[in-house]
Amino acid sequence: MTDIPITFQRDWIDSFKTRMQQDGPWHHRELYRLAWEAARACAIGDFNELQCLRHLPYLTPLPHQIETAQKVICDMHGRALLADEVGLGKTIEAGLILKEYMVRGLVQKALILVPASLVVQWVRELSSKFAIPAAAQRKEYMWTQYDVIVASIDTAKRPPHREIVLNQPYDLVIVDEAHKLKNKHTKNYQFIQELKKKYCLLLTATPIQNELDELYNLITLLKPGHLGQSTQFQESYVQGKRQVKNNETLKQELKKIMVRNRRADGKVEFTARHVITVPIELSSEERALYDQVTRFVQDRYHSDEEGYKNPLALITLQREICSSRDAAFMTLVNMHNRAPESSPLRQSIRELIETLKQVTTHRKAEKVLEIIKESDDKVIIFTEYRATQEYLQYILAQHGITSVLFRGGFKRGKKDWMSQLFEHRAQVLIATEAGGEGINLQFCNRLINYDMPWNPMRVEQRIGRVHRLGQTRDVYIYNLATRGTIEEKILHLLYEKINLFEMVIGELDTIIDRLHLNKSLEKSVIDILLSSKSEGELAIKMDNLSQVIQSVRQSMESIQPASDSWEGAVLP
Amino acid sequence: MNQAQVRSFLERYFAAHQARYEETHPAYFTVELPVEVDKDLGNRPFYWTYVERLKLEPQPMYMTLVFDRSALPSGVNGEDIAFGSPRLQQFFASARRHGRYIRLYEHTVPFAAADAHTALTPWLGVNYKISFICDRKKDRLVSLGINLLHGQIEENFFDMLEVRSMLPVLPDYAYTMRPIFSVDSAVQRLEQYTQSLIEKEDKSWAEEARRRLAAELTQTEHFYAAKKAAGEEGEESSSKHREKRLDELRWQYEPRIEVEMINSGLFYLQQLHS
Repeated sequence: MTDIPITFQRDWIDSFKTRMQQDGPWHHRELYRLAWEAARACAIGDFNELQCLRHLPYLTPLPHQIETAQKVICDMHGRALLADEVGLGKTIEAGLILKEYMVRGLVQKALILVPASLVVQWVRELSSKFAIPAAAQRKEYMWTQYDVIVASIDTAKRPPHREIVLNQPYDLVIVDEAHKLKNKHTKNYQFIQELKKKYCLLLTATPIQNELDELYNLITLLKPGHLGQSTQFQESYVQGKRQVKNNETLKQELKKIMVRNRRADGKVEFTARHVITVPIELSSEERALYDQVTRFVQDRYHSDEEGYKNPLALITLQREICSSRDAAFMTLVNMHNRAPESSPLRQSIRELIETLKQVTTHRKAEKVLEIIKESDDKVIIFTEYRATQEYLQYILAQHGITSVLFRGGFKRGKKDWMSQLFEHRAQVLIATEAGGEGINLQFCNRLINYDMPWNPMRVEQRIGRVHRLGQTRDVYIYNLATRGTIEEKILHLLYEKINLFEMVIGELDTIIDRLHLNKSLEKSVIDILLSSKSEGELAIKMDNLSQVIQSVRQSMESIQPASDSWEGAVLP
Repeated sequence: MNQAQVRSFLERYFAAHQARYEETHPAYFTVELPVEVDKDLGNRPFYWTYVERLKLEPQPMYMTLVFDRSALPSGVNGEDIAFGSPRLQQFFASARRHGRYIRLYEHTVPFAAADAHTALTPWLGVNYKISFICDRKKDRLVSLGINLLHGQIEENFFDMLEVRSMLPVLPDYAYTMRPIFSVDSAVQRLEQYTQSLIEKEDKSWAEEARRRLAAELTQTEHFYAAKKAAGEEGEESSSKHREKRLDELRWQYEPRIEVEMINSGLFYLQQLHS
């Protein structure tokens, strides 16, 4: 076969001739050698063997993830439906495939479409785990300027973005949560259909929610004609709404274009998760302080007086006082300084600070010490406040417990270093944020939620740091809640009612995605807390919220019987 | 490349630029970036424009590269570097840019008779990367040299030069002969030679890709024809989708070969004893 077109790079020849004529400038021999050695190191010696693994110093993918990447590239030629069950790492698989194609020079321009809430997370994962410089799309010019871009499909499909995106070809398009493309009459579906793309990956844990047609639509989006004509497909495989015929044939066809790894396959083992709520009884002086702060907050909130009345700051103060006195102290000082000189507010803040200074006990910190001392094993403590973080480190040090701090603002290198220190030299890690992807903390199996964020996603991220693939022991999660405070309410009304702690990592994403809230969950919670005039009203409203979440969760489960039957009968 | 190889690569890179080390340690080193490296990798083009316009004394930038984080002494801040990290790719690209064209003379030992001069033959050496591309890809590197006097071509030219002693300037008691081949015709011969190498390669990858392409094109044609027959979609949009999909398939599978020049040089050598 002599007809394979060959192109030679020739743009260097003139430059070479010029140097000959002008006797230079000639380059350094060592750099000449290095350039050739680099080319040798980067050359791809084989069509099939995965190359990307030696390019991934910060990631050890699991066998089923590597197998999936290999299969998609070699057998499916880069167009596939990745339909692993939740929590098995579809993102990792997609990242491996993207990296492999980039290393081979087969993908330069890639578009990753994900729900708006996941854009930042994708960018972070691609950069920390895969060293892929991906950008979150924010401005119009970015579509053309950046090679790897992460955006929400809702943005991309709307003008003026739409025209730009449809006008340039993409070497690879990845769509996360692709079950949104199940209906071929939707704008989303047609948009993906129109994109010019070489390779394409669709990611979803639920390739069929109700009807077999949904799966047909997804596959047809990847490879029009793979499952034949729509009517023909109906005739060959569909028998009534929820019944399949000729399922073996269908399974064989699906195997060519779809990968589905299951937990039950035994490829991945998850250990058990034990959730322990630790109620904390405040000492009488702590109780008095809390009550005084609460009165202060309510007075401010309901007072007609102009001036300092930022509701969010007030509620924060109440949360801080449950965390530590140090956390509340700075807020009070700031409030004081911002109030006008003559305001009576200053006086009442000073009184609060006085009470605060006199408190000598700290039941919550004592409890933490107790939990840590139960064993010599490592513990991660999460808190929302930096002041608390530092205070805890001080307390631990006084009791001879070594600890390291971890903050969101740390640079990548420092984060790595801190987790290394934690692994090798300290017993406790005190963190104010979940640490970002790629930070491996699986060697630790005890986690203390010292105080609770009001955004359930952040709690999930915290748990996800330790309870993940690769954790070999059972995981213990301690939730601290001071009795009779706002903290206890949140834990009880929000987290326990929606069974957050029993959810599989990744499940909450899907739930929130389907809630279609006008504002974030966190904002909704804050609104309820602020607008409720009585304890009763508060309880009812929180109850409503958790019921909505529960019902979404149940609706996801209620399709389970149907999808179970698909599971065995259809899905490969 | 393992970490030791990465480190040695960078040490040689910095040595070539005569960089000054601030600190060296088994786990890391800190190096002062020489001006040309800074301009290449320091990511501060505005700074350089500014310094040069105002004729200021430039402030050197330091880079700490960490090869083994677990052995890093506390208090040292640096950047992890490993095969696959974008930073190392930058060093690779920098070496490519600044190690692209060279000229070297073979070191010759003068004969006993003081006035006997050695003749050096001109060679053009080109290092190529051949990429075989369909929906997958494979590379093959070849280093070729062509004698510019009579057109003889040698493979593994790079390795052959490595065992000879070479100098950047013409040694005493040596003189160079005028080339007979022009660069253009020499390159043409090298390209023909490369083509003949490609001919000898296994072609099954391309045949398979073409088979896949043909099968998928047929499947796609059938799909849209049946769709049209069923009147499911408007004529215009259907044929638009069909064309787009056919183009995508060709883009994905069509086999092709690309030959890239990695670097090249003019070499004056004594007679080859091969």
